[in-house]
Amino acid sequence: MNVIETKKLTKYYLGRKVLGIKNLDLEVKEGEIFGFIGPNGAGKSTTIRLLLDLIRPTSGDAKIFGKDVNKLTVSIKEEVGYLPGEIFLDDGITGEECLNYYKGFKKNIDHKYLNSLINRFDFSVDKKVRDYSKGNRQKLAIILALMHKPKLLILDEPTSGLDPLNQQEFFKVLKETQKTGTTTFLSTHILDEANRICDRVGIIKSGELISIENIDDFRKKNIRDIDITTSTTIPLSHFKIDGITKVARTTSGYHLSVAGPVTKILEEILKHDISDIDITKPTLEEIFIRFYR
Amino acid sequence: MKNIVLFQIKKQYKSVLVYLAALVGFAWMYISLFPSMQKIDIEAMMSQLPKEFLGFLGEGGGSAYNTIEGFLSVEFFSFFFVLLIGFYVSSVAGAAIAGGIERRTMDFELSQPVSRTKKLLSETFVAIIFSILIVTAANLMIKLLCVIYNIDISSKGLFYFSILASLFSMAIYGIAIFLSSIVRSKMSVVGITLFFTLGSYVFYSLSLAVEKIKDFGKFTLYYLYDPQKTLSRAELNLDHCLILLFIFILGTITALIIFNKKDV
Repeated sequence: MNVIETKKLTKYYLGRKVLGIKNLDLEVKEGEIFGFIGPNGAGKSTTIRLLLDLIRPTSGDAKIFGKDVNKLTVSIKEEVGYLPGEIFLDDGITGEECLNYYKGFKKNIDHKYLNSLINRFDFSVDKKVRDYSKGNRQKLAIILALMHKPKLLILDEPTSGLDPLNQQEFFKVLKETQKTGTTTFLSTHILDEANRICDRVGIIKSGELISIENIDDFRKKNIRDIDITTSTTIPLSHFKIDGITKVARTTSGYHLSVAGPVTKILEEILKHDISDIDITKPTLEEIFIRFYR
Repeated sequence: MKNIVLFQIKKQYKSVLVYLAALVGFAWMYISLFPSMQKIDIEAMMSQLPKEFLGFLGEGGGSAYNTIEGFLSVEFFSFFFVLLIGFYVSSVAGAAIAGGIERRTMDFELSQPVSRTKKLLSETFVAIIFSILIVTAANLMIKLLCVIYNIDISSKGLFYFSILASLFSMAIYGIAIFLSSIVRSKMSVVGITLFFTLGSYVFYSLSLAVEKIKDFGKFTLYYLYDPQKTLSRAELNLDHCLILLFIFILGTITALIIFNKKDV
């Protein structure tokens, strides 16, 4: 069963001047963690806002749990947990008052589970929202999104502001919720995040879905840049190794663009007189230019 | 709905008490001044003023100052009272849609299982209850202060005025919530609403003083309010009450329609 289904979903802003997303066909299956990857401004947040009925489509339609997101939005949201990248709450109330207020919208809150979330993220409920740091606000947002054990989690750049330890804890919680059947739709521009927890990824660029891939296929792309510093000349034919997609001469040596596992490539390169090797990950934009033009 | 209502009550009650205290404080000042005002021959003083200026004071002219009802109407209920009540209802209405979008708190609120209609109606309910409470409590305090200062004020007039002022504040809310659904800033809602309400007061007052625009005064919101007539005569104009109620209902329904179709 598809938990999320969109057909030719299109959104333009300011009349028809600014494109949000165009003809988006998407299917997210029950129980999977689906990553929605794209650079900033690609249309990820527009898609999420359409799914949450915060904005209305120009054309096309979207369904969650088989229900129209516009017509049956209230009953859909009973089973949805939404986590924005940056949460904006009434800042004059305390964390506890905030939890109590949003608890009031939900049915059957498991208080034991709620307390366990508060403890896991080491969240202090007695401060005013305005006094929380960005990270603590994000912790509050995580708790608000998860407290009613939703069947669908919609996460928009969820780890922004979280320290590495809390990121790890958050991913652990996501994996746990997956075991209990929760579906997750996660939008991110951080490839590692998608690599780490997603089952499938959808690649979106300039408002259009370019491809949907299984995470294993996506991982195989494992794109790296390798900069070799050497005083010797290496014949270009020596770089004809599986995985090297591009070779360029630099002032200090060579620049290689690599996709897939790097072990074999490194073994071959190290046969030469190399003084230094620098392996870096290109930006998402660079990856898009190379693979998803 | 109950959840939003309780949250809004908790959020607003302190500021409501401040509005009420400000109103009672000012009313107290005017009531305490009234006995000494009576010692002055106001009629003689007023007769020295131009005829147009007396028209500005309403139908009683200078004689309005002879009674506490007229005195409070001219000095307190006509401007300061409307300013504070108008500020309260327009702030609440401005925060309900425009302010929520501006501060981006609307996103998370609407990601909860609550319809836009329920959210807006709940906030409207609290705003109306609180504005009725402010009006009624202020008038009860005025009655009490008059008893303390041994001033005879018509209870019936105050009661009718409470009804009229409550409906007037509801009408201002109706205008403000409509504006809130079409503009993107809370302060714009407050500014435009107060400009419209107080502008209506200025125009209505001018229409009483300037012969040329005499007939246009009845097209202002203030014509429907006119505290002097209600308080002094202890009469309630039912037509005016219904029009004020209609403005409130129309503004709220229009805002609901726009808000339900709006991208937030």
